[in-house]
Amino acid sequence: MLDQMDWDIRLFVYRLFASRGFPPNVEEITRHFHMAVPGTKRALHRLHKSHALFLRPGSDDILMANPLSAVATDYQVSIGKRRLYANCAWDALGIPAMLHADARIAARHPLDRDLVHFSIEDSRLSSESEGIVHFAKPFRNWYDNLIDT
Amino acid sequence: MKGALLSWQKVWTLSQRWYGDRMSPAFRGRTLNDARAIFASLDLTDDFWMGD
Repeated sequence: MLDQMDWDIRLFVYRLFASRGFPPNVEEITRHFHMAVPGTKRALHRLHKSHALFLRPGSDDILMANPLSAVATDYQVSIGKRRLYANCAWDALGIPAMLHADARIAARHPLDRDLVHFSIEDSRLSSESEGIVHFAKPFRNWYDNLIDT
Repeated sequence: MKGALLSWQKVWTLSQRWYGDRMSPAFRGRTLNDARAIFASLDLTDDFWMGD
């Protein structure tokens, strides 16, 4: 069960991640909340277990705060001068949806590796080509292994 | 092809409903019923989206 501090940490992570393109680390969170490092780590693992964010396996480092990815992916989202990475095609649209912002998206097609470009302007999506998004796993299996999903 | 295929326009609408409140200080996650309500609002009602 998450408490108010856990949710405050989650929101801090999201705000910093979205503003600069990469998440805060344990030391930054510890300093911001005037906590002790072990308490910060426990909070991050509670948030991971609750699927509020996702840690790199075997570490305390944040890998994903959906729709944001801490690592470069095939789904790049530009908002103003910020460059953000999404975890998948859906998350590439999720970033401007979450930030209520105009955006330019460059997504690499998983099969032919061509770049496909999209833009969000005044909440309207436009794209240079028609296309579809494939959801491989049913919803009930998404969190079995979110990295794989 | 197994899975579900959605147009980019539909995924954009889904994204807005799924992620639109993610930065709100009041956000407390989403229950299974919340998720299903979002899917249903987009007529995503088959077993792929609604199954247990």
